[in-house]
Amino acid sequence: MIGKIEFIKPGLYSSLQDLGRTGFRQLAIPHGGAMDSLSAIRANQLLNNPLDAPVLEMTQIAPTLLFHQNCQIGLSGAKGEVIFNGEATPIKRIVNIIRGDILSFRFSKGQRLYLAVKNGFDADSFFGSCSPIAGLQEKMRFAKGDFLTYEVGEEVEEKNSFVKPEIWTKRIACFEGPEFQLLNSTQKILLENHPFSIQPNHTRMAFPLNADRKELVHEHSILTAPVVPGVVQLTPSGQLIVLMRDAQTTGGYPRVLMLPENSINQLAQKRVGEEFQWELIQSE
Amino acid sequence: MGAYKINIKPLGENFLLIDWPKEINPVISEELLQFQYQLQVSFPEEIIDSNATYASLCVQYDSAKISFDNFKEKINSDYVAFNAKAEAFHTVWEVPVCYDPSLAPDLISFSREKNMAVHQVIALHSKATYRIYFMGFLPGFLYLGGLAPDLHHPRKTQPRQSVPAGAVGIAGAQTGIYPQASPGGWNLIGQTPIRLFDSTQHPPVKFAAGDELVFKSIPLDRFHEIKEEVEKGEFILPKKTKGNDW
Repeated sequence: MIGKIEFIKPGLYSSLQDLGRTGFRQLAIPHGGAMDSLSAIRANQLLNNPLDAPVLEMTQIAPTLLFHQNCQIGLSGAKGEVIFNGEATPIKRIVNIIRGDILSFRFSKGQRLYLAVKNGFDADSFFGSCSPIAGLQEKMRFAKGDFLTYEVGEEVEEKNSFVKPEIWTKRIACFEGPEFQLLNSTQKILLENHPFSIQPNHTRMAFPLNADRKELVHEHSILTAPVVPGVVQLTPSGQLIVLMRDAQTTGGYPRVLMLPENSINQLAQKRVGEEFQWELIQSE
Repeated sequence: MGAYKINIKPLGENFLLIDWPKEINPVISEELLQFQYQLQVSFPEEIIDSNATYASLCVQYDSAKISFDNFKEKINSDYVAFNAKAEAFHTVWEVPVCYDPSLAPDLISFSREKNMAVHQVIALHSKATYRIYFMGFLPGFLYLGGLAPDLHHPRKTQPRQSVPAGAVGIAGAQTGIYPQASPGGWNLIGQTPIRLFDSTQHPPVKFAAGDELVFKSIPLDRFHEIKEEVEKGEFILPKKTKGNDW
């Protein structure tokens, strides 16, 4: 049987995501995938799904969803309340839905919540992933009246034991990037000690950070070089830009820091203006 | 033995960079691309993905199968045993471009700023053979080398909100073609009716890094003819093997 979920309200930015694509960097096709991959994986783990099954990524303002069939959903990521037929209760990890239920969410902590159904949502694969690619696909996110469909599967028992790496932290681990050594000592100290936060004009491609320190202004330029999700660039005007999942494959700004996978996830849950500090760790 | 001193460094947990001397140089680019191919053959299990730029090769690898230190050592010893072929197989593509001012909003102002006649700009732009160094920026965007120094020109101070797919532009020492409609600050001097990136085709991009490209000036009516042929899937992009005649 095919299950259907209808978008009564689309939310700010709701899209289907998996863990992205590999094998197409040569054509300058971005990686894509869930911004907080760990939470996407957990939502799938709750339902014993393949870890890369397509999940619904909801950003900042959650959509309002009407369920046309009975269904069990797994939730992971942002904390807050689920609005269940108009009534607010804390977000649980597994929710059993009855046909006709209307669900929404209010986030009190974090930016992105992932919703999985048993076996994953139906999705077209585009270059090996369901994650939409800007420029190649017109439909990047869901609109009012759109449907998600899935093959209705068996219910699972709630499990209590699974690994929880730290998502909520004020100190975000990073490595030195390839051009870290272009920085002078003032700039290096500032990078480690200054509180940074995400600017409002963030996208799935990049998070620009606050740029109020003149010391970070510089005149270095580099020959266009490869970049990947997690690279932190420093523009000549002194602004740090964290490249996220939909980032381009090449760039021309100095790559001063590089984030490990879980730091990308931590950052994907930070709100605009929420302060954090970089914590430099040594590469292996 | 590879001809340069290469430098291998980690980029996070799953990527590494192999850096050649930082130059835009066809000899370096050629060696790098051939070495990229060699690594893909040598390490099919370890390498997940890779992409090249002018002088840097980025390799995504499976860190559960090989550690950075171990991989670095293996790459270095592969490079010691590696010899780039002098005459590698490459294709030369002939890309039709219409320089009619109706499709080239900056051509007249560009010519004026360069103190050249419009036909001189067109002649210079369509005379050169360009090397495709790599793809980056947008899916299917080609980084081309070989723009005549007389055509070098800074990008526009006010970028356009939307540049159409196929627009041919100049920015600094680069010329390029927009594969999709996007905002952009390049000086637009022409437009090609072909699709650079066609997701219905396999592969979606015909061109490969290391290939060469020439622009062939076409009149406006031919532009529309080709555009129709492209939509019907009937247009065949002229090409030849490098070193052969057309």
